[in-house]
Amino acid sequence: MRTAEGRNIWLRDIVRVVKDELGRVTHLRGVFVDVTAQKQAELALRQSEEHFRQLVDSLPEMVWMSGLDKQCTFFSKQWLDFTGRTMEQELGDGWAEGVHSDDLERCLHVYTSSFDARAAFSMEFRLRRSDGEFRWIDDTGIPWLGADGEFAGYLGSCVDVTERRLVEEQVRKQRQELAFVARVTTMGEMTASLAHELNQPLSAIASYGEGLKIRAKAGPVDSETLIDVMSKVGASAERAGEIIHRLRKLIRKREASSEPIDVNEQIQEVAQFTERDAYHAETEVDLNLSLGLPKATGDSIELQQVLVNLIRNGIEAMSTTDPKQRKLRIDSQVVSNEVCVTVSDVGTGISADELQRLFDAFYTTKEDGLGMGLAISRSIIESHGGRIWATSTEQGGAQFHFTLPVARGVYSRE
Amino acid sequence: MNEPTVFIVDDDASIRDSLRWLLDSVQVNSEGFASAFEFLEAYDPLRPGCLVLDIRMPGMSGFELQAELEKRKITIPIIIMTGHGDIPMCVRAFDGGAFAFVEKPVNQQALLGYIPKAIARDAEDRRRDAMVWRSPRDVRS
Repeated sequence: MRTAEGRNIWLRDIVRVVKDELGRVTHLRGVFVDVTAQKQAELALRQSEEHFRQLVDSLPEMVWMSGLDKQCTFFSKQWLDFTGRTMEQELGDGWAEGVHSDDLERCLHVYTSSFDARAAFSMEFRLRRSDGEFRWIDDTGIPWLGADGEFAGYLGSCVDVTERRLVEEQVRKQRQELAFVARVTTMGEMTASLAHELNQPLSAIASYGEGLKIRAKAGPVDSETLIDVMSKVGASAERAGEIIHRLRKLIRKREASSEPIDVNEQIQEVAQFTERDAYHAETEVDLNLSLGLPKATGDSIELQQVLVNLIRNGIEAMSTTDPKQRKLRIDSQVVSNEVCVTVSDVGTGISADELQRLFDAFYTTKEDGLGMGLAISRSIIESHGGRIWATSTEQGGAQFHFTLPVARGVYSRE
Repeated sequence: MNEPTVFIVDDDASIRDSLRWLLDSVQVNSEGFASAFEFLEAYDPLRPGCLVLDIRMPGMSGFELQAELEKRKITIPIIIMTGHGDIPMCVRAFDGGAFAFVEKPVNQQALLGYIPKAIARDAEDRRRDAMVWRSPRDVRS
């Protein structure tokens, strides 16, 4: 209806039928209510929903929404096109039918636990495409607030990351391959000291055996002597076995794993492994490990590789230092939710120019070095989500630091 | 005191212990030292015998001990023992006047063969020196 001012308004006509005492309709009584404001609000809402839908459907991402009951209430065109299913099929829990059975449990766990915590989440899972192929999807969900500012459910967006994952997988494999080659190379460089270490118990076994043979030839050997010498033989054989076991562990070709690791334990093991090198280089190794260090996530062998590398670098850097001064110090501590390890030497130090290029591939100051040690160490640490850097100490030595994130218990990106 | 003794200088306790056990089974006296310094400190040049010496030791290496003994005019025969012997190392040992050179893991028969010969050489040296008035051995370092 047009008003006197020429405005179009919406009227609601409320009519009552008025009857006489005999029940006959006498007339109608009605009122008009101006409902323009309400009508406009409804229209605005419809329009804004339409805008939202148009906006969402124009996005490259697949968008979904869920309500307070965790049930999905909306899927964008992209999602429906991808799965080749109808909105009705996907609503509620329907979408879960397209998730790969190996991923479903983890997927639902992340969704429900984040939902209960009202926390944003990000996860990857495989979703069946309309052609039947499972594709890797990166799904990011955030809690959304209704008009009243109250939590109203989740809003999520998904991207097909299958190609990205393939590339990442290739990069990861290449990095692991490189790390493996570097480990074998390091072992090659350490052959002399490893051979020496192995020769000691073998020599001892041979000497005990030969001595026993000579005694047995001369006459009966009493059981006490026998027991004594055989336990020494056993201890030496065990020592040789441990050396081989450690060696095999480092050069076995394997997939890098991701598990909680006790960094202090790894430092101690590597310190033992390089003990011989340090001993012969007349270098004192000082461990300052912080007690109660939280566990970090990663691959223990790769971590050991980084440690071996830094320790050997430190020992070499002090080859021209007065033997009485040679000291390698390894510190572990926790700094703002990261485990931080520092390897300090008192050697010749690093110039500002070197500090810049130290971690580059093929950069080396050693005559026989390939310059890959630190580059590989960096790729290992970064693949663990940590950082590695070097500094110079006031005393003129060098310090290498690396961090590893503390292991998280809740959920993680696969 | 005049019984010949094999002085074993090796930083590895199991090597010292096993060699002493081996020598014990052929009724040869032996003593072990964990470092070159320890040996220099304790050794009385009047004591006959021979030296079984490891090359790779921290502090003072076997070669350094060999040179030090020569400087002190101590001529006790030295059997050099090493875990990773190569030709230059072997040449260096003999240049320094080593009696024999054995590789670890030690061939026990070879070692047991060298020891009586080294002890005999030492005894002979001492007899000859005793006949020379004011022999270098009388000059105690």
